[in-house]
Amino acid sequence: MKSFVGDFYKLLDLLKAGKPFAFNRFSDGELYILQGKELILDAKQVKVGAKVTDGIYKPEDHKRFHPEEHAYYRDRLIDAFKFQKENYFNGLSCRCCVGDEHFQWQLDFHGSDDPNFTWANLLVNGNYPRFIREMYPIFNNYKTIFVCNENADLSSLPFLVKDFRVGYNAMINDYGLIQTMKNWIDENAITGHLFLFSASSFSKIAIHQLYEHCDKNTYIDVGTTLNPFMNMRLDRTYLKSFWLGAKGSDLNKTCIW
Amino acid sequence: MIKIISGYSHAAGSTLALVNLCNEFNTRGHACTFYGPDNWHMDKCRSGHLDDFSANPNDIVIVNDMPLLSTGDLSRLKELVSENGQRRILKTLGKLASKYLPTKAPTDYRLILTRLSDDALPISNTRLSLFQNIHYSSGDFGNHSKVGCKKFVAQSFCNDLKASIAKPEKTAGIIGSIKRRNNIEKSIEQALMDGMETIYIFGYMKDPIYFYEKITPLTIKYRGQIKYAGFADNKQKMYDTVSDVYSSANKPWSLVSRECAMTNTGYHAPKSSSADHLMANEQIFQIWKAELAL
Repeated sequence: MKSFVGDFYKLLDLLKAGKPFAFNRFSDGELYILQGKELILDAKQVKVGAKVTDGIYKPEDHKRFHPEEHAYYRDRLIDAFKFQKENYFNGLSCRCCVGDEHFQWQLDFHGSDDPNFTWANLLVNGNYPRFIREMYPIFNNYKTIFVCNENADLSSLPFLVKDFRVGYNAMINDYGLIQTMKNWIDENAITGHLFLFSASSFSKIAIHQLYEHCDKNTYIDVGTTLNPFMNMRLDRTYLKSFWLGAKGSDLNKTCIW
Repeated sequence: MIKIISGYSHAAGSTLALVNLCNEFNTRGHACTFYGPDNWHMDKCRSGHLDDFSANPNDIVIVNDMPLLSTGDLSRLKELVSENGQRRILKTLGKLASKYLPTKAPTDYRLILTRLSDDALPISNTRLSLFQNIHYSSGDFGNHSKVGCKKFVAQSFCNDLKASIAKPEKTAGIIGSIKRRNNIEKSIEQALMDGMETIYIFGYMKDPIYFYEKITPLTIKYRGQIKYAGFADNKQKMYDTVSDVYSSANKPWSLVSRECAMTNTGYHAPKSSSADHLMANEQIFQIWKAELAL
């Protein structure tokens, strides 16, 4: 039986032990891309397939995916989603967050019962206090590389040795950065390092390709978890609850499988 | 067997003190296990979760920060400390319990209450008649306590640290849980006034709202100079990283000043009202040995 808390400690134990792994996460945005739906997230509109609602997104979160125009990148996202390797942990959108139908769609689309399936939300919701209090300090044990938006301020993170930056719609616009990173790893014989990603859908493709390229480093998609240390907005409910004390139940939420 | 039970076992100075106490007992041939609700202590000493705990005949049970009102509470420790409402519930129940619950200490095992800092659960939330003895980690708050029970003072065991071989320059450390009473923002300002160029904050994120309200604005104002590291398991590495340590809270039970002296680290903090005579680990153990009649 999968455990939301147990899976968190599985990754934490690997991190403490210095055993390389990859934690990739496919949230609802990636789910829609995998399903081949057109996706537009910007200040004016949120378009998912044919459904359009008002836009709420800030520039660094803008995304535009067209299934035909960007088919190549969807295929790379599928590669990342279907990739299986020892200690490659694949975080899926859980049924409590996206509903039974979408959850089941992911399992059917993947086509196998990967024992390394876990929650896309593994580091947030009810596990977020654990992430900040127990996992964040372990980052100090590593030479850490951060892959994030060009506007992020990383100057208060003590463990960084290098950063790679992406811009708007990075999965498409910054795809070439993955090769740059592979080259950097090879040229500098980078092993035993920790790569943290906060670069939306770009992270998913990069984590897959980098772990496939060099599985002697650890790659974690931290999403928005470190926003308060990066002078970035706290626009997620779990962040507002933890850092601002705002009302909300996300910090008490234990996602189910 | 000696058993330590605590209302928390996350990364904090008090938890480390209990880990060290447990390890000292075991190293010196007295079997001891530390039970706590969190995971941090689990790989640092002989340990268990609260679910694993039971009090058996001849046990000595050392109790930290736990609102124990009856021996029956020992069979529901997890429930006792779980969730945020614990203290509120006990505040109400405590008054009832003081009238109706049995008052005698257990006869087939011994309970020892430990007080490691003055921000622990108020002693009035615990039923003192259950305890054979109360331990204080500093005479500073032990002597001022109006508690009538038998008590003793033994400082916390100190980790073996060495003088740092190469110290960085003008690099400050602020050590302690992130919470208002530690006045971390004052320590930051003082360190900057003293010319420190980089400040590392080492501490468990106990109060993130305080951090975001008071510390985050300083990280933006003094961009690049203030870095949050979290609680550091490796103390030697932590002290090797800094030239000076700043504190704005008077904590006579804290080992930080002693550790700074051991590692040749500058220490800047308010003067303690009554400085404890520093005890060697052997001296500390002899006190425990005598008080527990080991």
